[in-house]
Amino acid sequence: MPVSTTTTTNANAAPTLGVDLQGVKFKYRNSQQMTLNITEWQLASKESVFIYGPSGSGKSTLLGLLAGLLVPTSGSVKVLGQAISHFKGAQRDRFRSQHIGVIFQQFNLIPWLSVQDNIAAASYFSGAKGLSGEGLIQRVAELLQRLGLPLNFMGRKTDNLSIGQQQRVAIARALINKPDLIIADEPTSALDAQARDDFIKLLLECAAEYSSTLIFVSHDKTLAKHFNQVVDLQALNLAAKEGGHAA
Amino acid sequence: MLHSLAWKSLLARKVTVCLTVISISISILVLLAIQHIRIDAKTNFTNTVSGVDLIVGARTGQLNLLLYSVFRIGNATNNISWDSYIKLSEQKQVAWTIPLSLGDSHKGFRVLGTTEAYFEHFQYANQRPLALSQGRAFANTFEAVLGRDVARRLGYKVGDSIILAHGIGSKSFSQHKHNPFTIVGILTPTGTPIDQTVHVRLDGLEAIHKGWQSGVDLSQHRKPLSNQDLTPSSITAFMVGLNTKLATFTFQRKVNQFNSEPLLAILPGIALSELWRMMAMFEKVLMMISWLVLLAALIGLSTMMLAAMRERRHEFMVLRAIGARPLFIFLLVQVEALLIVVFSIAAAVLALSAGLWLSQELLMSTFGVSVSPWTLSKDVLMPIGLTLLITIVTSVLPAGLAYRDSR
Repeated sequence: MPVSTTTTTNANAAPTLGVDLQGVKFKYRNSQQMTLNITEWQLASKESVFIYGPSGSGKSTLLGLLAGLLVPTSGSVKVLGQAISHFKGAQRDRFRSQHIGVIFQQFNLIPWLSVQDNIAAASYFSGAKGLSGEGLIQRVAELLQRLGLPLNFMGRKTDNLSIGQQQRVAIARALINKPDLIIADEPTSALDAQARDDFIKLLLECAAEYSSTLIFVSHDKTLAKHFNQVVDLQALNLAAKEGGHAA
Repeated sequence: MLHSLAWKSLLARKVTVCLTVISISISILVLLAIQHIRIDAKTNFTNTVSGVDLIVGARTGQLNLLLYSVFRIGNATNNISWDSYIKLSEQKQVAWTIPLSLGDSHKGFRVLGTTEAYFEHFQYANQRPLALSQGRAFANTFEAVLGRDVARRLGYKVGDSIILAHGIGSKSFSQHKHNPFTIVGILTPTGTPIDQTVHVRLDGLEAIHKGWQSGVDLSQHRKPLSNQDLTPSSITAFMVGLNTKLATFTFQRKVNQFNSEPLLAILPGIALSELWRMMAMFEKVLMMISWLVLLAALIGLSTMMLAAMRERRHEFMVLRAIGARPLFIFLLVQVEALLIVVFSIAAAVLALSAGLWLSQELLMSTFGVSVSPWTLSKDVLMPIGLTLLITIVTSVLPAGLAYRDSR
């Protein structure tokens, strides 16, 4: 897929890796123990992967590293061929806003902003790729339609929506900048079984339409059936295997 | 984006924000009111007397003499004999004198006995002479000229007659009821104690006191005869205009060393500034208190912001996830605080202007100070600027916390 605005694209590797972790270790500032220790992990571009991780397995840390919200204590994190672990803070923020869409478990949206403003904010922070005015409204409308949300939701405050609706708005927000990587952190944990399956199907469809790499993390193993690649974080994370990090 | 986000975030917390705006604007209101009134009062204050070279009274403190002769506050400790007054006013350096005789009142307003020279030579503000808005200056024994406020408050017009009371209380039992005065003129407003003064002639005061002894009427209510000698035996003080300013200190020394009775001559300008310095102490304390109140309100603002930090963690997280820099979050909190303070300032300025506009009359009539309702002068820009600066400093705490948490 074209990584349009990135400054340096990985030219030598033929199929660009979506994610490439090498010797990544992470320890929180005030903690004695290693939270994450991954020797090597790679994910091809445009793939969808389900990462199974019970609480305490270091999944939030892993996602933080992938999103560039955290920096590893040692090792390198490459996303879309770029070593974001070696970026400066502002560079990482910019990279995240332009290439990565994040969907959290809950509280995805800013409660005092309307649906439209929430999505527009994501577009604003991406800078160069950001749309404005009519074009933006048009795009937000398309996304809402695609996600099966009525158009009159645009002006609604997000705290008036049901959780299922909020999570779909969160997908719209993640998709507004046509991200190369979508990171979803337990986005379905607050949904009932039916809504959960619909949500995952929708997310997978959208990721495919936008040819985005999708990393979906959950402690709920039953969701693994929707994905063709499944990774057990406990097996991957040496720090968790040692049993050092308790829940 | 930063501003629209900050604005929407404040809107989402209307009630807390409104209360904070009210509490801060009250403290800013107090601060600006003190600052504004102090500057206007100072101008007013120094405007009370002008063009008078010296004020002469019985020997007392310089402030006491100034207070009773110019501000009609307090009482003279002693009088000047008429002979001494004549002797001093006939000195060759003297261009003119205005005799002042105080001690009577009319419904709480002081009565000043003087001569026509008062209307001719007395000046206030920047050498502005007195002017009459109605009628004429007094020319006969039982004629009176009112200050603007006396006429307005008591609803007098030219042609009405008034009775003076002995002493200066507003409820006096000894009235000079057999010798009413006719109002012949009303002065234009001056913004000085003159507005609250009833002016009569010295011989008028002398006439109504004929036959009185120690404040008791023993006159058997006789009308004074027209051929009677109405030269007073003493006056309270007098103002002096000299032919040349250079003679001021010579003449002052002459008065202070006057043989026949102990007298004091003061330079009004110097006495006024000494009085102002005393008032300045008080005013500085007031200013300091109002700054402290404002500081407390601004710390309250920062407490309010800090208290909101916990519940706002998620929204900062979301902002970070969609690419906002930690600096953006720092600025968001700062801009919110500044917006609150800017609104408070606007509310305070509006309220102060409206309040002064409404109370203009009252301030003028009760305190004799004219205060302009226009508050946005360069003198309040400093406190406003300083307020914004303090806001930035006190909001560093919540903004810094938000910054640290979102890193």
